Parts: sequence; C-alpha cells; structure tokens
Amino acid sequence: MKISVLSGACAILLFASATSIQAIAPVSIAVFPPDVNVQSARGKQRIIVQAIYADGITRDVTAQAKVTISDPKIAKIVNLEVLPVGDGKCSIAVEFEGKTTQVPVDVKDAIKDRPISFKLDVMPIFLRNGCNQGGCHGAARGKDGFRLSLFGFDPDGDHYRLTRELNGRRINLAIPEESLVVEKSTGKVPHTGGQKFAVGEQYYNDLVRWVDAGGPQDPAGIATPVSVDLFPKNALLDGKGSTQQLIVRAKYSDGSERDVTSLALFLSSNDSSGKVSPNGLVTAGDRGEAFVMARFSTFTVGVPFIVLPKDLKFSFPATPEKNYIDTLVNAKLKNLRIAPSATCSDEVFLRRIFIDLTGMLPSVEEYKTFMANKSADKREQLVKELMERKEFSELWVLKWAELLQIRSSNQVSYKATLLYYNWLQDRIARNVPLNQWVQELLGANGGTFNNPVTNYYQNETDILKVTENVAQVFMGMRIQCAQCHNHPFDRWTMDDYYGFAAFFTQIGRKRTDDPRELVVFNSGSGEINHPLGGRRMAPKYLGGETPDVVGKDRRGLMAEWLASPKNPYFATNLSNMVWTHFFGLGIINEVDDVRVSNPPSNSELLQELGKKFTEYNYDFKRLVKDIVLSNSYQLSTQANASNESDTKNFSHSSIRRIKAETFLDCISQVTETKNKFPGLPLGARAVQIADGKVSNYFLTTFGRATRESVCSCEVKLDPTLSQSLHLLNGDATTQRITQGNLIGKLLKDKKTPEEILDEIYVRCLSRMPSADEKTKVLALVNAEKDKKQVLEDAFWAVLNTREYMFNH
Amino acid sequence: MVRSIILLVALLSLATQSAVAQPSAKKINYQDHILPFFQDKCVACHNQDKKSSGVILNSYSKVIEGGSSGIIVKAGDPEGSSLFQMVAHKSEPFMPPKSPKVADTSIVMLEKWIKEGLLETADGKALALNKPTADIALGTVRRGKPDGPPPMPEKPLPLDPLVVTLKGNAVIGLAASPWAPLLAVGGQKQIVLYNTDTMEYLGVLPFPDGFPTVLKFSRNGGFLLAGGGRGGKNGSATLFNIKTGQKVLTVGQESDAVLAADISPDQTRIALGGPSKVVRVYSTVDGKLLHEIKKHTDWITSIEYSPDGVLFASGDRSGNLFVWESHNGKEYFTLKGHTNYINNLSWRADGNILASVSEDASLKLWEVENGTLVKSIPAHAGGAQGLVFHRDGTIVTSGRDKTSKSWKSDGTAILTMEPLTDLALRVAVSHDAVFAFVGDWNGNVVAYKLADGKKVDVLPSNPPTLKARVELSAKEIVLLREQLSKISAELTTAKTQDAKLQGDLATTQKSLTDATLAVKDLPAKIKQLTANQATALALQTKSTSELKAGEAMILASTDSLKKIKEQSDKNKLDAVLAKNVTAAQEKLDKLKLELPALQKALQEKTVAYTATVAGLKDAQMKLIAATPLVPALPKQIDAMQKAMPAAQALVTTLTTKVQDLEKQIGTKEASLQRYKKAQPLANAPKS
Repeated sequence: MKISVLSGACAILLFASATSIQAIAPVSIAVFPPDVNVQSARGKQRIIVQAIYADGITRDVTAQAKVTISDPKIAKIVNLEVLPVGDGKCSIAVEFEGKTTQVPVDVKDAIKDRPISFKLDVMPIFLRNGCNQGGCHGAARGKDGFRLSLFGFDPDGDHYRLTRELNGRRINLAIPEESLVVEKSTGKVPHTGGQKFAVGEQYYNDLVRWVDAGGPQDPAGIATPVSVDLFPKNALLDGKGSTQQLIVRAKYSDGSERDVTSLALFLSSNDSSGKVSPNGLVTAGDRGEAFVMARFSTFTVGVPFIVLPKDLKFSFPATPEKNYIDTLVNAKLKNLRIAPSATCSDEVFLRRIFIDLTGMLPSVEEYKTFMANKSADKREQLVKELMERKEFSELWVLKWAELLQIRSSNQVSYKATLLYYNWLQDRIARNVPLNQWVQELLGANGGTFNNPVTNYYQNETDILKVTENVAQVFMGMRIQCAQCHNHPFDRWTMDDYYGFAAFFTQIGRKRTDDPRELVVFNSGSGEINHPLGGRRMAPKYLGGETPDVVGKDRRGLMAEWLASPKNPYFATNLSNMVWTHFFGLGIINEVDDVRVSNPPSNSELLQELGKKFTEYNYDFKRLVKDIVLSNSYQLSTQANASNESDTKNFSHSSIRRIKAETFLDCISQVTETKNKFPGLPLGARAVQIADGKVSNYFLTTFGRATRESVCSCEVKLDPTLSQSLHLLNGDATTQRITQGNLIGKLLKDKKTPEEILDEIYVRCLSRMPSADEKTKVLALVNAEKDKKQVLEDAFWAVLNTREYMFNH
Repeated sequence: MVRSIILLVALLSLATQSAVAQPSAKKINYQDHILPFFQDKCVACHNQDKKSSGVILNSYSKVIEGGSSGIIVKAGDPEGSSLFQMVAHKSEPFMPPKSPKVADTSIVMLEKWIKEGLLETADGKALALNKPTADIALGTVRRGKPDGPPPMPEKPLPLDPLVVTLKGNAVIGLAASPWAPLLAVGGQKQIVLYNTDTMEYLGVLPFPDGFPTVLKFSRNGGFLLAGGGRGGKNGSATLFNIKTGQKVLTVGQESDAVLAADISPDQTRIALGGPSKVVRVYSTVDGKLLHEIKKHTDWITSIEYSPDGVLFASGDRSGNLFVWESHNGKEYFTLKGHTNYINNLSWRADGNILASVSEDASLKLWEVENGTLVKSIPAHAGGAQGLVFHRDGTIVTSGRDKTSKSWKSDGTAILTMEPLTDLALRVAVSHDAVFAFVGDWNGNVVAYKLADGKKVDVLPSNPPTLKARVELSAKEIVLLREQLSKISAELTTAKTQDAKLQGDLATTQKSLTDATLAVKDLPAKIKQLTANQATALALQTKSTSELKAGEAMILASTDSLKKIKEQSDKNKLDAVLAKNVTAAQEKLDKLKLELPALQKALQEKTVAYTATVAGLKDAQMKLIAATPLVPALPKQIDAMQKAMPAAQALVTTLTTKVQDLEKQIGTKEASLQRYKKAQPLANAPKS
C-alpha cells in the first residue's frame, strides 16, 4: 500500500468532510485517551474526540474533528488509530469547531516486534468472543469435550488444555490455520457455538500466530494487566440513534499500555437506553440511563450514559436545598432533565418520620401537637425528639441483629444469644461510633459469656463463610464467586478472596466447663492455600494492601483496617445501608451487592455521604439527621410528568412496605393490644425480640428475617396472598379490634361517631378523614343501630387500606 | 518461511476447491456437492449420534427421510423444503445457528439441487455400496509368521509428500508392521512410511480426509488401517494394501475425527470410534455397518482386537474399558479401574492378558479369563500415553513424563529410555524387537535401541520435498563419506597399535622365560664355578710354589756351583772338583732349563684362574639381574594382555563402524538413486 506523504513538517489528516451538526459551538472538546503511549511495532491506539455542549450534552465528533500529528516521523494516524513510525515523543493536535486540544504521544520500540503472548494476546480472545463463558467452554465440565476456565481465571490450565490435554487435536503446529481451535471458531467446521470470528480478523491472526510459534507458554514474569481504563468517562447523548465509541486501555505491570478495545467484552446495564456493540459503539435508545461496562482480564470498568429525547425542552423547578444531599440529588436530576416532586405535607412527614425513626405511628396527641406547632423548624424539632427515644435505637438494634445473625441454635445457646444481643443493644443505645464497635466485634477474643461479642465467631465457624459474611455485611461485597473463579462482573479475583480469607484462618475455638460457652482466641497458626497451584496466601485486605502479620492477631489488624477510612468501602457501604432504610432503595441497590457492574445511581452522593460519615467520626445519628432533614427525604410520593418513570434517582418519595416487626407493632399500637413473645414481658414490641429463632405466624408471614444468612434479602417485603388473607380474616385485625376494644372505650367516653372516626383516621393514617370519607362512613354509621359494630367495621376497613399498610 | 506455508496452505485449499469445483460440469448432486457442504456446516449436530430435531444430514437416505417434524426436502420445491428455507434465512430457526448466513453460492447450489430433483450422484444412480476393491477377509485366523516374504511396498511409493510443513504436529498415529521392517507415522493428511532396519524414508500414503490419528497393521502385516479425519467435521477409517500402497476400503461416516480403530485378525471387520461415543463395527466384505455399541459414555479413545479375533476391547475418555464379543458386539467384560482417558490398549500374543495405559498414569494388566485386574503400575507420572505389547512379551510404554519404558510381560520394569524434550505420545516396536519408536509432541519419531534404551535416529513426521530430500541426501552422503575417511584413518592407527602391542607382548614373554630359566639354573652353575675357581687357585698356588722352588733350587745350585767353582779354582786340578763343577754346572743349567716351563705353567694357571673368577662374576651378575624380572615381568605381561582386548575391540568397533558407514552410504546412495529416479509431484509444494 502506498501512502502519499504530504510535503511539509506535518501531515494533516481529515477524517471526513466536516459537516456542521450542531448550530451552537461546543464549550469544550475532550480527547481520549488523555495521553497516547504506543509500544512495539504492533502497538496502536485508537483515539476518540468528545464535544461537550453548554447544556451538558456530549457528542462523539471523532469523525468530524481535524487531527494533526506534530511529527510524522514518530507516529501516523490510520483509521482513527495512532500507529508507530519511529521512537520518540510528539503530540496530536485536535480541532473541532474552533475548540482545540493537544494530546501527548510517546512511541517506544516502533520497529521492534513484540513476541506473541498466550496470556496477553490469546486469552483475551476467548473472553471477548464468549468462548469461556459459563454456558460454553467455561462450564465446569466444559462443552463438547473442551473446557476453558470460566472467564479465563486459570490461564495455565487453559494453556495445558489447548496444547497438551488432547495431543494432536486442538492445535496443529504443522498447519496452524487448520488447528481445530481455529477452524471451530471461524466456522470452517461445524461448531455448536457458531462462528465466533472470521479468517483474517485480528483474533484469527493472533491465534494462528501463536500456534505457528509452537503454542508457547509465556515466560515467567510476563507483564500482567494492573488497571483498565474505559473512555470517555461519561456521556449524555441527545436523542435516539446518536452514538458514542468507547475505547479501552490497559496498563501493564511493566509500565506499558495497550489499546485493548478490540479485546474487551462490552456490556450494557440497559440495552433499551444504551446498546453497546461488540466493538464498543454505544447507540442511544429510549430515554434513560445505561451503565456501559468493558471487561478485560480480571477488570470490569464502566461509564454512565444518559440518554435524553432529542432536543428536550426542560427547566428545573425551584427546589429547596436543605443540605449537601439535596444539592447532589438535584444535580443528578438536572442531568436527567427530571423535576423532583414537591415537599410532602406535615401529615405525611409526621407518619413517615415516625415509622422510619421509631417504628411506631404517632399517637393522636403527638399528631395534634405537631400539627398545632407553628414554628418553621418544627420538623427538625420532631426529628431531634424522636432520635432520643429508645425506640429509635431498638429499630437499629433489630437491623444489626439481622446482619450479625443473632440467633440461637443447636450450637449457640440461648444465653449466649441474649448476651450477644445485650452487647449490641448497649453499643447502639450509647451511640458508640460504628467503627469502634465493628472493630471490637471483628477483633473479638474471649468467652462467649464473658465477652459476648465473640459470638460473632461462634455463629459461623467456616473460614470461607466468615470471610464472605464480613465482606458482605461491612463492605457490601458479595465475593462468593471468587471462591472458585475470578468474579465475572467485578474486580475480585481468587487471589483477593483467599488473601482476605487468610485473616480468618487463625481463629481458635475451645470449650469451657460450661458446655454452652465457647472461647474464641487467636490461635496464631493456620494458613490458607490457593486452590490453583496450592500456594500459601498472605493476608491481604480486600482491595487494599498486604500488611505485615508476623506475630500479630490477624483479625485485629483486619478489623482495624476494615472499620477505618483506609477501607474505601466501609463508610460508603454503611451510609448506603442507612440511606436504604429511609428511602427503601439503596444508592447502590441491593445494599450488599456492591460491584462494578452494579454502580451507584448517584456516585457523588454516595461518596459525599461516606465522607461525611467519616468526618462525623462514624456517628451514625448525625448521618441519619442529615438524611431525614434533607428535602429529598421529605419529597412527596406524588410523581409529576417528568419523574413518574424514575425509580432510582430519588426524584419522588417511594411508597414502601413496612417490615414485619414494625407492622405488627403498629397494629398493636393502634388497636391497643399486647403481644407476648418468649423471653419478653407481655406488651413488649416485636422489634425487641432478641433471638432470630423466635417468631410467630404474623412475623413469619410478613417476611421476618430468619437471620440464617447475612443477605439483605433475608427481610422479605414482597406481598403474598397469605398476608392479605391474614389481614382480612386473621387475628391480626378483627380479633385485635375486639380484644383492644378501642371503639368500646371511646364510646364509653361518650365520643360521637364523628369524633371516633377522626380518631381512627389519625391513629392509623395520621390524618383527618376527608369530607367525602366522613360523609360516606357516617351515613353508614347512622343507618346502623349497633354503633360499636359499625365503627369497628370502619376501623377494620381502615386497617385494611393500602394507605395504612404502606409507609408513604 | 511461515508465509510460504500459509501460501502453501492457500495453494492446497485452492487445489481442493478446484477439485470440488470441477464436477460443476456435472449436475448438482448429494455425493459431490451437498454432502461436503453439510459436513462443513451442519453435521456437528445433524449426525447419526446427535440427531438434532431427528435430522441426519450425512446420509442421503436420511436426508430424504426427514426429521421429527416431517420431510425437510421436497424434490423440485425449494420453497416447500424446510431445510432450504432455514439455511436461506427465509424461515426461523435460521440454520446454522449462532453463525452468519452461509455463502450465497451454497444457497444457490442447495436450491438448484432441490429443483433438479435431489440427485444422489452425478449420474442419478444410487450410490454403489462401499465395496472394497480387493478381497480382504481371510478364511481363518493364523497366528504366527505368515507364509512368504513379509509384506513390504512392492511398487515405489510417492516420495514427494502431499503436504510439506516446516514443523510436524504431535505424533499420535504410529504403528510398526509385525513382520516387515516397516513403520507407519501419521503426518499431515498423509501417512509417512519408514524402513525400520535402515531408518530409510520409503514414501507417503495419502490420507486426504484429514489427519490420521490412529494407525494399525493387520495381524499379517498385509494391510494398514488408518483412522482419522477432520476434528468437528468428518471421520473415517481407510484400509491400505501394503504391497500396492493402494486404498482398498474406507468405512465410517463419523461427524468428528475417528480416534480409535482396528481391523480384526481375520480381516472381516473394522471397529472404529471417536467423539461420537459409539463403537461402530463394519464388514470388510461389503462395507456395511454390522454393530453399533452405545455403552460408552465418553469419547472412544482406543480399540484393539484380541489376537484370535474372538474379542475386542475399547476404552474411552473417562476411563471406561469394555471387552466385547467380536461376532455379535455383545458385552463380555467391564474392566473397572481406570479413572481417566484411556490412551492405548494392547493384547499379549497369547490373548490372555490385555494391557491398557491411561491418563491416570497407570499401566494396567488385565487377565481376560475372568476379567480381573492383575497388576497396576504407576508407569508414567502425569499420564501414560503409548503402549505396545510386543509379540516377544516385551511391553513398551511412553508418557507425559517424556520418557519411554520397557517392561517384562509380568510388568516388571526393564529400563527407561533416554528422555525426550516434550511429551512421549505413542510407541511402536519393530518386527524384530530391536528398535522402539516413540512419537513425540514436537512431531518427530525417535528411534531407540530397545536393548539399551539409547537414541539411534530421529524420523520426522513432516518429510521434506523430494527435491529437498535429494539435496539433503547428497549432503548426508558427503558427510558420511567424510566420517568414513576419518574413521578409516582411526582404524588404521588402531590396527598399528594393536600389532605393536602384540609384538611387545611376545618379547616380554620371552624375557620372562629366560629370566625364569636363569634364576632356576644359575645358582648351581655358580656353585660349580666357585669350585672351579678354588681348583684353579690351588693349581696356580701350586704352580707358583713350584716356580719358587725351581728358582730357589737355581739360586742354591748357583751358590753351590760358585762354592764348588771356588773350591775347584783353588784346586784347579782337582778333577773331582772340576767334575763336581761340571756336574753342578750341568745341574744348574738343567734347572735353568726347567724354569721357563714352570713360569709358563704358572702363567697358564693364572690365566685359568682369572677366567674362572670372571665366569663366576658373570654368572652372579646374571642371577642378580634375572631375579627381579621374574616377579616384574608377569605384571607387564598382564597389563599388555589387558590392554589387548580394548585395542582389539577398538579395531572391531572401528571396523564395524566402517562397515556400518559403508552400508549406510550404500543405502543412502541407493536411496538417492531411488529419489533421483522417482517422479516428483507435478505441483510439488515447496518448503
């Protein structure tokens, strides 16, 4: 091929005849990657140019931009790719509609070829083309007689299977092009998985080149990818059909960089809004958000895409911003062109804040007092008052008891369970900073009676289970996948998993003279080996460094790191947990499913919450206060036209189910009935039950956590038929109404039916009945002789309304 | 170089394409056009084993029969043929699934075939049965050496390989003729033959169906069975007549490469298997399928008939091993023990023991009377691969530990051969059990002397072109000649040295004899000489005293004469006195006359004495000299005698070497002549 060389110092390449696509000029342009580093003759780097407009809209203008290489003796640009010409440094100047920017270019070993590498060149082919996914050759038993490790977690094993497991079959050293692995993937011979790529494509060439080189294994110490970047970092696409190309760049342990766009596997969280092609071209679809990810080696990286209808006219309404939470929530809403709902009424706020902070409904007096209060900061006053109540801490003890699996069993005595519960109650009631008691918990040593916190290590004795639980509860990570293979959709590798598990290998447990008690201590010995190759794993913080553990209590070290600012996941995860309690939806949802492929709906908000929580010295009460006093928490559930389809950006309040314990307490409260739970006095509240084993029909039906696992899914909030039937016909309503005899008492107090009706409404719904409701119900009451019966029926009816059953 | 191979492959594929394109003059028919297309795209699922949707596409009758939802092709009506509709992406599900639409030319071809009435063959006649081109079956099974000369290729085979590659691929097809010096090596779409006596390249047999993965000689060495194919596409087993080098029969329509195959000792049946998990037994009389054995749960990896042909054994990828009755395909034994891929099976010549090797690293010996495991030996760490139970009872195995080992028939180890640089995959043993051949991962066959496990030669599975071979051969001859002249010179030197050594030994031996004799005789002689010396001394002493006495008498006589004379002078006239003077004078004179005699006698005696002294001294010296020689010389002789065999051996070795080299040169020259005379392929690929 001949390339005509332009005379002059620089060659100017025009990608396409530029046609103006935007009447208004962009405010800036960005070129990705921000620096171009090309190594070896095979090196290349695709570049993309993104134009950013005043309204935040971005456009991929790579094809329209004018791109100039400062020194054609160093690099050239062919098909949007920077290719090496000679060693040295130069730069690329990019110009688009008057905006310019420069990108430095560094070319090394421009004429030196890089030998083909199994791990760097061949293994990514299998990932990119889906060969080693779970449904195909990545299955535990392989597919059609050939197995590859799932997503390539075991490249050495894959090398063996390709070259030497079935000798003479999978690769052909004599005629590389006729290797079975080549013929199958190119569809030259029938392949159950179909044709994966064509003859002449990069994948084909690299695979053949590797076989031609004799199918070599990589020399020891070959560079490994250490990080992966996905560009651009975000995009706001304007209208269906607009596109944005992505590029993926990997950094290696030897400092080199490679454009791995053609080797990365692209995924989108929402195909209907942003569909990504196998080559990384995102095409905008319906209005919405899409998190587009690229997977390469063990890394998954993602960028958020927002898709708006073409030329949408939008202006953000005036919305109160009470604190940083509102600022960040609104910022995201502005990007999405969503208007938040209005602030809720006092009545709605009262009921909502009571349920959320105390797990109770406001009493009639509390209702009246609050409604009568005319001060501007009455909501703040109420919050302050409620947070001092013991019900507030009881609600959070319940929450943590679920996560810490406080539950008696054949192995764990009731006494130990109670002591454990009391310990937790004490910490939360005294508002001990979260990091302190978490450290105390995870580093605990001693007898389960003397130091009940050690029950944490009695409840679960399996090393790997303990490892997984700690990661899931305190960091929100589900790392279970990495026990057998690198996590397919997250950053966790088997090395990370077993490195973290190594902190829990030295838990000593011994019996005392009391058979119900167990002593947990640091045994000082015990290691864990990597299941592949059996190498001993040094303790490594999950996502952190490898500390010196010689002669130290490993759990102590781990606890110190985990509940500290050094752990980037602790504060954000706990903030998210608190947030979820008040919004019914996590910023990352589920709250214990933090992973790259499940990004936060508002990353800035989550980071800020974590930052504040750390600044508050892990005083979670302050965090709660910030949240409940924000306008975002106090939004109405009434949606407007722009936010009715939004389910994750907190543009309106959500209608939430009430968890089993609180719901039972509320029913007991309004009907003035008492409950009897084992081990608790008559009239105790369901949230006070210490032992997870204790339950009753109501609680079980309404999805009380069994505390058998740490999963956030333990608390079931899904409606069931038995719940409805129980409320309609069961003893939860009818019998309690009779038993509590509220109506009887009120009638005895000579209250009129109207007053009684008002009381029922305020008690249950924290509002007065509407005129319409009043007229209709009173008509029925007046027509009936037995006032008690008909009013009790009205009471029953209110208890069965959805308005009562939900927190809204 | 790589490029040239790619070019070559491109050329080859061009060649095959044109071969396919050729019959386009013919009408589109199943056999020539449609089946190859189906094999490319469809039969991985639509074969007799998987039968996806009940559709089987690699058999004409089954295509016509249709699938579980009725007919799939309707003669003359492409629109009514669901097969066409799906392939042309006119109705769902599109076929083949998960792949782009097939090339338009193929769709047009398919449409034409249907329109033209679904012809099976070009002439529209049903395909003739797959009849062998010669009688293969034997009347009886004959064990032991067959009559007549061992079968070798009688006609020169094509020497120019059909496929030339720079490198070979892992050798998994390897077999040696039981009676003839013939080795067959699975190469790239061809089988490479070598002479196991001379290690000479004999030529190639074409295997265009793909890659030969299993090779087996018939028990009389008259046929070579080659199983193989293209992975994921097609598989079959082809029988070659060794004498003619011609294909006589091809059986099997597998949808993946055949991995295991054998021909029964009576040559009436061929059993084969592969990834289909089904063992299929075909008749060699008419090529018909006789039995299908579906007991295996994984890929069939090894099959071998017992020497009497009554039974045959088959092993699979999961380690299942079964013995079947040949005549009906019924199960005879399940041999439980292996836990992984069975790589090879081999029967002992008497048929009582079956040996098996597996990826579970073991060599197992099974007794076939009751189907019990006799012995399990951890033969090759990482996995045992190759196995031969030779007629003479020697077992040879190879494995992932890169070594090959020989064992006695009871499983006791004999020796481990020099290791290879990569996996040792398959073994064969020459007809005379002199050489073992090991196929390796790099595509070579390494020849070992079975007796000492030493490497003797390397036979590539990727032979070069005829032209390259001629050049190479000529070069080799030059090298060999250089070597010959060098070794000849060495031989001459060695011979000279040997001769010298022999001469020296003779001399030394004579010295020893002499010395021994001297030590034995001299003491007596010395004694005698001592006595002689004493005698001589006495005689000398006596003679001296006699002389002295004589001289004294003369002195006395002179004195008395003087006195007498004085007296006489005083009495001159005293006659008596005068007479006395005369008498005295006479006496003196007489005495004086006697003196010389005495002097002479003394002189003689002195000489005699001196002689005896010298004689004695001489004898004594001789004794002194001879005495140490007697013990010393035998050592020298011993050393010389010991040196002798080495010198002689060197001579013998060098002589043998010279002879070998001369023979090699002879062979090479003959081969070179053969290569030169051979017809190169018209479109010979270049390496």
